[in-house]
Amino acid sequence: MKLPRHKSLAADITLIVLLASGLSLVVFTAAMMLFDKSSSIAQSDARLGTLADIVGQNSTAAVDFDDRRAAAQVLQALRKEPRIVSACLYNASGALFSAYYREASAAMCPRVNGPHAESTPNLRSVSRPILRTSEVVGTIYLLGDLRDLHTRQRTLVELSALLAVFSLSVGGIAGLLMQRRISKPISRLAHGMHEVTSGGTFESRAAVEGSRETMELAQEFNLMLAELERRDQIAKQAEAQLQQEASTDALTGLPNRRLFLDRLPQIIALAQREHRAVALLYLDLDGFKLVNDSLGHSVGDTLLCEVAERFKKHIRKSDTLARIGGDEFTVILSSLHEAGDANIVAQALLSSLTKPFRIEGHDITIGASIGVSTLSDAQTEGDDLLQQADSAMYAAKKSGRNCTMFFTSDMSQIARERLTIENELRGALERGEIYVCYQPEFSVTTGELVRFEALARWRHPTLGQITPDRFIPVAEESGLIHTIGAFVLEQACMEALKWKQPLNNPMQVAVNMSAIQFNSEDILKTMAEILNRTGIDPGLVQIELTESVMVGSLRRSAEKMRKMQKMGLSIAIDDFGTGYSCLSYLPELPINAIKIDRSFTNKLCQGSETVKMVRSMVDLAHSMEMRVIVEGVEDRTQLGLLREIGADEVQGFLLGRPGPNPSSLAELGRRSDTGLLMEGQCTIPEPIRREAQLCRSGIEYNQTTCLTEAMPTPQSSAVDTTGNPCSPTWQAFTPTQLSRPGNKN
Amino acid sequence: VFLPVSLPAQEDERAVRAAYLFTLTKYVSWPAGQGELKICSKVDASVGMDLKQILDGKVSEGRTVHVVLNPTGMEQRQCAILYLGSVSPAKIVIALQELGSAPVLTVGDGAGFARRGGMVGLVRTEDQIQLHVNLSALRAAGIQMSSRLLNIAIIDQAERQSR
Repeated sequence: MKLPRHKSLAADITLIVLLASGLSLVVFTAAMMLFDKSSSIAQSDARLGTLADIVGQNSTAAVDFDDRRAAAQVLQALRKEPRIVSACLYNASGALFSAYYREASAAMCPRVNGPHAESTPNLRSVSRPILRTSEVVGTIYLLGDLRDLHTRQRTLVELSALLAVFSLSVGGIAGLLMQRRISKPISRLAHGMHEVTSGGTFESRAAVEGSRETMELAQEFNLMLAELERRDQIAKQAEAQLQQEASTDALTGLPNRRLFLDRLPQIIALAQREHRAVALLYLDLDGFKLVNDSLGHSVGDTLLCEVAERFKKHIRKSDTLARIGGDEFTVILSSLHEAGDANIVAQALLSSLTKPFRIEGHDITIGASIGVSTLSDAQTEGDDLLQQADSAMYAAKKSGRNCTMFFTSDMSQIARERLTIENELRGALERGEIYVCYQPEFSVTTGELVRFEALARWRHPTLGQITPDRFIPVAEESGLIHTIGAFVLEQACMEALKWKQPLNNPMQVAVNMSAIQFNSEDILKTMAEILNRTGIDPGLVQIELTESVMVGSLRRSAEKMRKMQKMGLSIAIDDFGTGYSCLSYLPELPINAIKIDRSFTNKLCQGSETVKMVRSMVDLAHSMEMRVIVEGVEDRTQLGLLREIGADEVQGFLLGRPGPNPSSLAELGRRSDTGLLMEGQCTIPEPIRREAQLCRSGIEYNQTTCLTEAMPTPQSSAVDTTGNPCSPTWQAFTPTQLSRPGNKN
Repeated sequence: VFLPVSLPAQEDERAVRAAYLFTLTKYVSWPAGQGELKICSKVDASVGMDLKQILDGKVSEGRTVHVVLNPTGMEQRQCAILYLGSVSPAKIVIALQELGSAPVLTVGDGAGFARRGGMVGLVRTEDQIQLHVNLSALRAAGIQMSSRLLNIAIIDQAERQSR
């Protein structure tokens, strides 16, 4: 930056020096001249007086003896005094006695007693009496000219001016030389500052030199530079930290989604250049939401950190582990020899989670679903790779969790479908598309119908029947499970009350409860409200929970279950033997019954190992005073084996498919105890078969071929052609006050 | 003291000479300068009378003037001034001899007076009376004369004569 041309410090200093010396010179000279003038005048006056005295003395006799010639001679002696313009001698009577004029043009002598010529700067006059001892004999008057004095003074002024010119020149040169000592360090300092501003760095320091003030200035400037440097460093650190924070997940310290999305294309590009495989692992923790909801966010956060720590141990330095969402992690495996190696890493990550986490006194078990996509599957886009891994992860989640799935092309379709389901599920309840079907459970020993299990069903006007395995996970994820669950419970309770009339006997109802529901804060309140509203005896309601409720805090889960029991409800563990096969929870929990998973039932006729296992489970449950319910009974052999093993209750297509109107089934079931179970024959009573037909579209997903083979072909006459699963034909069996579950009330 | 600018008449000149005598007393100091100041004269009676009329009783430097006309031989030695007037040179010599070395200022008229052993001669030149002084005579009589007076006087070298 160029400053406007201004008076420089150097010029100012020189000017000050010149002004100061010039002024002092002028004042001094003036004072000297004034003093000189006044003293010269005084001196001259004194001299005039002395001359007058001398002349007077020498004139006494001349006056006394009236000797004019002698007087004139005496006065003539004044000719030697060039200053005397005129001299006048008066006798005692005041008459002019003798006079002396230097020049003819001089003023005439004044009268002795008259006014003297005014004393002007140039002319001084003196008048003295002439004394003979003490007697006045006359008067002498002298007029002196000071013109020479003025001439002298003028010369003095001229000389002073000359001296001033000389001394000012000398002073100016001296000032110029001296100002350099002052202004040069300042100039250098300014130069140093310029270097700082143009260089942009605060490392340079100004030289501390020159006068004290300049040195102080330089020192302060250096201090300021140091301070600026310090602040600059802080700012840079803060900037770096911000950069770091922008790309890092604050909780786990892992790269965040942004950094991950930045890096992914780079890694892909590099791998493509080097012809190496890249795999992307997409991990989603199973049940993390439960942990967060039941134990609080701080536990959830700690869990995420510990999970991240465990994951870190199983990946190479060259791989990128990132946390891209709440409980979602990604791993980019670069430089793989072959895509299949990704599975090894995925398995290692899964197994790292098997040991429970201990956080704030809670033992937390958590799983993960991993989706894997590899570069060979993808195009070149990182987005595609991520999308595919995401789809694969969903597939993994759906296939039973805690497992790994590689991406296949049909997964994209599944993912799209899933999105459609979620969109359609919102409002499905209000539109009356969700309804409840009931499947009977029978006592093995007496063959009596003991309970109906309430099952949620969804019939969409255009998509048709959507199986629970398709919509329940979506409902769980979207939070719709709470309202759907409450709806099913209320419907089941109301239904159970209706059975009282036809059966003249209270009938139990079993209601499934999702772990998401179970872990919600106000589940107990919601349940109590429903029980109150419907007025059902809570002893009639069995809540079926899956093992996944144990994810999170076992202690809290147990406490909640105990509260439910206190309300009068009974608790059963659904799908027992699958999921988290950790039996240690069993003694901790207040459980009334276990429900052995259908996968065991399916395998019963395949070998003795399964039989042994089921027998052990039954024995275990009995030893802990729990009832054993076996689901998925599809043929008589299974039934026979289960009776032999000692199962308490059975459920399955062999005995009754889920139907919308259980009050009729109740009647049939009562009849069946003599026919079906006791006879041990594989014939299904007609009404049950028809009932089953109506809920056919809601069959479980892992239904086996052996089941369909075992099932007789339903009669077409029994099928409701309107598409309403609750056919009007069944209303004949239903008491008139009963509502139809499939329709909006 | 009245000093006329010019001397128009003989009487006036007498007065001027009388005034000169009186003024002289102010420039001369005698060895015993106390008491009455006697101015003696050996001149014409008329001149003497005028002198007495003008000067008697005047005070000069604290001393009262007493004019003594025609003093005796003893008397004249007591005079401060002996005015002889216009006398012949012979008379001058006699008078001076009578005085001897007494401290008496001898005053006479004419240019020759001082030259002939007198002390102060009053010499008329043009319109002025000029003083002629014989310094050796003054010195011999032990009389001092102010230099201021001497400045305006003509110093006459006395003719050699025996005393």
